[in-house]
Amino acid sequence: MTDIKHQDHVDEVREALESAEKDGISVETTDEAISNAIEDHRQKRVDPEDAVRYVSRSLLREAGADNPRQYISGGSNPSPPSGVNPQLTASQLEEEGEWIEFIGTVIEAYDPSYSEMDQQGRLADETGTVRFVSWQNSGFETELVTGETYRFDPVVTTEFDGNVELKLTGTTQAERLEGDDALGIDPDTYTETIEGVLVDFQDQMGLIERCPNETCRRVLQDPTVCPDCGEVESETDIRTKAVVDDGEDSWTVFLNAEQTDSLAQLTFEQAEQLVEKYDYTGVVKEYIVSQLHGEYIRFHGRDRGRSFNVSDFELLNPPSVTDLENVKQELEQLP
Amino acid sequence: MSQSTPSRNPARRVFAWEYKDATYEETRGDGDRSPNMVLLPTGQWAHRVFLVGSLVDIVDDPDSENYIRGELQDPTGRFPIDAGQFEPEAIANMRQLDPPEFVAVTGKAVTFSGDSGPVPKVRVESITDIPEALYDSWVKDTAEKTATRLTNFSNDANDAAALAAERYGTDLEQYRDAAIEATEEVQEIIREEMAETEPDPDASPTAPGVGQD
Ligand SMILES: [Zn+2]
Repeated sequence: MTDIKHQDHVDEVREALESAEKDGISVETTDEAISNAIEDHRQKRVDPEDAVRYVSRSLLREAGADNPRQYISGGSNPSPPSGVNPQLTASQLEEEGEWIEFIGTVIEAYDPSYSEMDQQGRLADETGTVRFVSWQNSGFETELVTGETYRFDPVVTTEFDGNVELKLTGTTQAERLEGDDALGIDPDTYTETIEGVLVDFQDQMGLIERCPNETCRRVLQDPTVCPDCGEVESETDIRTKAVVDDGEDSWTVFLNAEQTDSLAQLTFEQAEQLVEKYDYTGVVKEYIVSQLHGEYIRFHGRDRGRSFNVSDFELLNPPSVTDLENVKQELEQLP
Repeated sequence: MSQSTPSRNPARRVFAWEYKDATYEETRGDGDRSPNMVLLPTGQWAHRVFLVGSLVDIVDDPDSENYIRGELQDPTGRFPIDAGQFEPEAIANMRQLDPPEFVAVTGKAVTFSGDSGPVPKVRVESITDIPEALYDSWVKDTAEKTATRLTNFSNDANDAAALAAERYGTDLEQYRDAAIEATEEVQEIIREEMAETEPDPDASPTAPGVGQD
């Protein structure tokens, strides 16, 4: 076999397979087989760029990779942009694989989750936030700065963990907007709001033991040893680790001792009295759950996708007759 | 509408009148984490549900350490609920409840085989007694989400609705009417409570001689 069809794309699949090897996932296949698989996709009107992603994903999945997506970086843009792209706001982002124009302020940038990742963080506009990511060697060169507003055009949407996000690639132009063109969003004071029910509570809540080191504060299984700091004398603390659910999405929230007290009416002293009375530490979690399960709460803070960083919250008031009348009228107007 | 794992499946809000008809169950998605889901007649997959209502029954079979069941009533009907060997905390909590009580339930949407085909029930993950006001919040929340499902039912891209129409021949009107009746019932209860706590402005409750009946 001298010349192989789609050689560039076969190489891209090879790159994805190689990057999975560090996790002990190895795929036995030939370039010809990869090429044929890409050609099979092309005949079903799938662009070879997209086929790279599908073929890599299927090979990695067969080899036992739980999350093949993480190994597939470059060369997987769903379809090329087509001239004029619609300008969408954060709240309008629902479809993956769309080329759009997006204007947003960087409110957070965090460290890459994988070595192949270059930048990641969150962008905000007036309607909400969206995660962004760029991969190494993707050709996206702009170093995004927290607090600055950018116009991205074109930029492609992708899906990760059930959420739509923006993938910045070599095709993406990022223009910094200044003065009146900037959005005027201050990363230090920016907050988002979610409303939902506390439907579930997780382990490592209630009365917990923490590493006493100010910079660590890790929750400890063994009160005498911190996995990061070594031998320590733990500090007892209270926290709540709950799931907020609005019927469509759910987030994990952490509430500190003061926040837990204000919602569940349980001071540290009362918690200690409970433990003494029942001779059992788990009673503190049970008490908090009995107080908070099923409560409707509005949280203010930062959306991190799977979790939500709480800065403030309030219990929602039960509905008035008028509130119910509005819902009733909405139902009555349905066909 | 992505069912992409491993995000946690949200708890759907549904009235008993609709849930009783959710008899079609399917394992959704591929891979190890593929969750079991029941199809709501108004066109949404439910792995989990969040319910509020009056716990009206608890049946704790003394011969079976690891099983307990009960019944939860909302303004439109009743939900069968139960807990088994994999939910020891739920069993313990259900044993402590004394019907009738207002409770909140988070649980898995599942079906069991009844005499005439599958019957939906809720496998309890968490159950707690709650203040009465949460009942009102839940009815509003559930009525709103029912309205949203009904609004989206005829969207072309709504595969769950298309399957619901095929499986159940869904008659949307009855679910809309049940939701309307639920909101009306709670409105009535709130009005009655207000009448009890707020004295008639024309009356003078402190004046002597006012009847006590
Ligand atoms: Zn430490």
